[in-house]
Amino acid sequence: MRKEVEADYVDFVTHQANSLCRTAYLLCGDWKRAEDATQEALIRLYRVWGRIQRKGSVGSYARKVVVSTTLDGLRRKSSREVVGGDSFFAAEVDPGDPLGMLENRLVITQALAELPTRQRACVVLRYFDELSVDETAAVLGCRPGTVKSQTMRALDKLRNHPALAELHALAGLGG
Amino acid sequence: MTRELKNLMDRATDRPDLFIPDPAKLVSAGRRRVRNRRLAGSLATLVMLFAGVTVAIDLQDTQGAEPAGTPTPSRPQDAYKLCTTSNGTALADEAWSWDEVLASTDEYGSASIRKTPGKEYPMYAFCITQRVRATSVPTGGRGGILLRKSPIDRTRSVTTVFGRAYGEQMRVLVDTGDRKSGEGVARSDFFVYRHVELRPWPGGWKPTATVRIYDANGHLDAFGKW
Repeated sequence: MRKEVEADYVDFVTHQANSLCRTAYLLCGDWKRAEDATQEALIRLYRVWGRIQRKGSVGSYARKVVVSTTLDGLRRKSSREVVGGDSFFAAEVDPGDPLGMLENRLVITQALAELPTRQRACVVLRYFDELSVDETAAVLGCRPGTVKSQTMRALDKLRNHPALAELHALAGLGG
Repeated sequence: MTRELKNLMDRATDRPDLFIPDPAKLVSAGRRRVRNRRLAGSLATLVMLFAGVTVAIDLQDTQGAEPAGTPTPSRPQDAYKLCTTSNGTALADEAWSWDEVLASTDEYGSASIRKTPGKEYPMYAFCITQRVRATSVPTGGRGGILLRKSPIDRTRSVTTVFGRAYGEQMRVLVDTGDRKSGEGVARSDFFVYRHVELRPWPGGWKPTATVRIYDANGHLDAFGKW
């Protein structure tokens, strides 16, 4: 890879790694795994960097690779799990932490964890990364119609999730 | 609902430390992967290319096919001619009229790679000439390398090694197991190497060939063994 092209790659890593890692976290619910998946995705990205840069599709391709590496990580066999793997996606609100309760930082990860993988990915890409239906379909390698239906089902489940319902109630009380 | 969802997800992913991996480490890991993939790709292509040649040459040898009878090359040391293609077809005269990709000629015969003219996906022929036909010829592709033995006299023989060498200014070093290695001729994504050994053929020994291909910067690009 030429030096100036490599410099662009380094620039992209420096500025986008954190954003990609946040997406990965919402998909897997574990910061350590999210960081690993993001690093793996960025290494994969290096190999095709010149080509995708010429096409002008760096951002969407990077997101696609991050999503696939994160979801691949979820499919791994339990024999490949490392210590601490059992706590994966077991995030729950600590009743002894009223501030945390109020802040509800963990409520959404808990609710997302209960969604099927594909639905979770649709919600994260559509409403966190704010991708369009077509962009989401391109990232997930499916048809736009599938994205719409999966997103709709996911939103239905989230609407009826008890923790999120409580959040609405809290939000209502707080004005 | 969706606005709330966005806010919740934003809050859930807020943390004091930004994740910024070391770009130097990523670049280094990326380079390593590119190198490994290129190496694996080269070897895989070599194996595929010569898989058919193995069958073709084995057939040619066991059936004792007669050499092509065209006038080129026409020296006494080119009396026996043998061409096979990569798709398993034993060739007769017509291969000698195909376009020459590269060739290596010496006083004991010649080796050449030829391709069908004017086709988008040409067929390649791997040809040798020698003074007499060998009664027992080790041949065929193994590990992406095609090796042939030609007798010279009671004490000497010639080893010919064909293979793929993708890229510009590639250097191909071949070791045929007699403690001497040499550089092959590489051009147009192929290489050929000829070497005179102080060992008769046929003999009571097994020929070998170890091929190392280096790119223009001197980095090892591919490695193969016959």
